[in-house]
Amino acid sequence: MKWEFKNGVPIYQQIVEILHMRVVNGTYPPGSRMPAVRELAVEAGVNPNTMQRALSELEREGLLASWRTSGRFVTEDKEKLEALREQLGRQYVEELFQNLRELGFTDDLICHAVQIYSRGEINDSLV
Amino acid sequence: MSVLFECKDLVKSYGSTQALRGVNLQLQSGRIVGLLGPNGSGKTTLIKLANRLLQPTSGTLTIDGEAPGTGTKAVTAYLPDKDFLPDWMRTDGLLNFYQDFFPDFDRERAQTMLDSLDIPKNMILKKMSKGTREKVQLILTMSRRAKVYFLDEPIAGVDPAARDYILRTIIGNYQEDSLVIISTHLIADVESVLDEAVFLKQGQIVLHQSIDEIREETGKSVDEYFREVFKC
Amino acid sequence: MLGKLLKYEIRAMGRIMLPLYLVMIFAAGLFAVNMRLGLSGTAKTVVEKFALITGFLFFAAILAVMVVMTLMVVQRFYRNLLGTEGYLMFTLPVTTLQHIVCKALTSLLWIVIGIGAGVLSGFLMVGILSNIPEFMEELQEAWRMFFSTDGLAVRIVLFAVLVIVGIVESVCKVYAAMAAGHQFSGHRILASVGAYIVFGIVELILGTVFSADNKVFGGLVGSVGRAVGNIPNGSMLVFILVALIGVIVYGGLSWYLLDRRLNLE
Repeated sequence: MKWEFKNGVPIYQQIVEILHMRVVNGTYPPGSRMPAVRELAVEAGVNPNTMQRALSELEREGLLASWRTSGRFVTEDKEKLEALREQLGRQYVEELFQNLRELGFTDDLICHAVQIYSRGEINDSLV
Repeated sequence: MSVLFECKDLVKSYGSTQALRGVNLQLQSGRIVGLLGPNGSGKTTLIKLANRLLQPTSGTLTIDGEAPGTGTKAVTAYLPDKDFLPDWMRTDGLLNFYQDFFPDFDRERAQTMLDSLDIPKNMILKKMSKGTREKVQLILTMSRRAKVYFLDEPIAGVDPAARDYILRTIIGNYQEDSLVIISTHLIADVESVLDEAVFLKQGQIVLHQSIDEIREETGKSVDEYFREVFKC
Repeated sequence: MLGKLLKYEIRAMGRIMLPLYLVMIFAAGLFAVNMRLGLSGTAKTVVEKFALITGFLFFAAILAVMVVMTLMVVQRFYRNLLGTEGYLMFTLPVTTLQHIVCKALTSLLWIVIGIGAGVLSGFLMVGILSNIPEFMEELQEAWRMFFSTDGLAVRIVLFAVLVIVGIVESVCKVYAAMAAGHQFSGHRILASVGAYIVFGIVELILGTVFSADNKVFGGLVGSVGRAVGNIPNGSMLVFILVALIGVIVYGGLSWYLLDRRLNLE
């Protein structure tokens, strides 16, 4: 199945985001070999040049390293991966706050809602 | 990176109608290009000219620097939007045929793809369903190691699962030294597969840009932008 | 490449024509056996009943062979080059000339084989109906005559050449008519028939222009005719020449239309 992409943002950038997620959550474990460009392109349903561009971006960020002809490997730098996880996590929290604030939630209510959610009491009122 | 397809002031008229009015275009290897436009915009005419199924009224068209002829036909693969194979032939007969006439035909690859779809060797084309027949045509065409591929409406009138198969086959077949030209009016489905878009309107090129640039500059998908450009 | 084209074309035509030829030979044999039984007087009434059927089958087979052969010549060209299969054929790395030569030669081949099958049927029938020793003697006699009679061998060979060139000319004329008709999208079949008729008319006109009775050219034609008369087998050679011109004209027209004026649907 093809990956989902939205308009307005270049596809390669959206691929970078998806790859970030996969590298952090261990879908592509540290030190492991990445699938070939073509394989990833087929899986994502995108142009191989686009996929190549995304992979090059990750290389530039130091998350991937290419070893001449043996392919691309995920970094083993645990610190780097942790930093990325931190960064992505922060992004999502920011998004959460932004969205809920836009709906009129105060920061206190937001925290309350988060607690309810984490306790599994989703049927309770958030307010 | 070389220019594999080039048109200079290409004009094609049929009597009083001008199907192509002075087309200038250069397409490079390693790209998958979308030739996009509504029906009657001249897409098929351009493809036929490239395959020497039509002669230009004026102007030139070259494939890797050569005018269309037996030389270019050996390195060009064309998938038209109709049933073009003799329907009395069997699968293995067709493989033999392609292997006989096209030195760049990769028979093993074709056989692998046919096997993965469980298409038997001795099945006659006539007995196959429309969808299977279309896949056979696609497999034969994409198993050529050609310099330029012309795919005319490869996903029109095809169910979503088959569409995925077709697009995956096109992507999986990508080679750095060849050029793939996909002519279609169904842009949303192919957009993520393309490198560049060429908009053809009433026989003229109104746009030739990379997909990323279009998305960045307009903030829209190419499909949306296309609808704007071609609003009636 | 031409060799490969021929391989496929011969097979494409052969898969229909060969079985038909075999049926024709078989029907001839059946008919002859039937007639022979009738002559020898055994079970007269049964034999007579079958004679009608086998006789009918034999003539039906001959008719079928002629009709199907004509249809095949037309269909192979029309379907394979002018129909949607044209998208395959004209994208092969093969020249237009090779396509036409291949179709014409294959048609010639299968027609000649058909004539051969017909002759074989004839021999079969004569062989069954007569006594074998007598039959073999007559064959040997004919064979001896072929070589001993003055110029007979040459005349027969020239006649065979004329037949061959004539077949190629007829086939090319049909191709040219279809290629011409193809130019008129929407009424292609009608236009092809029309083109064929026009060709016939042009041939007639040329025939009267180049005849000895003609007011303008008559004298010239007359003197050429006399000169030709003095050459052994002169008239036969002239006929062959005319047929060759036909091949060049119709073949050339087909080539031009397919190479420069192709417009597949």
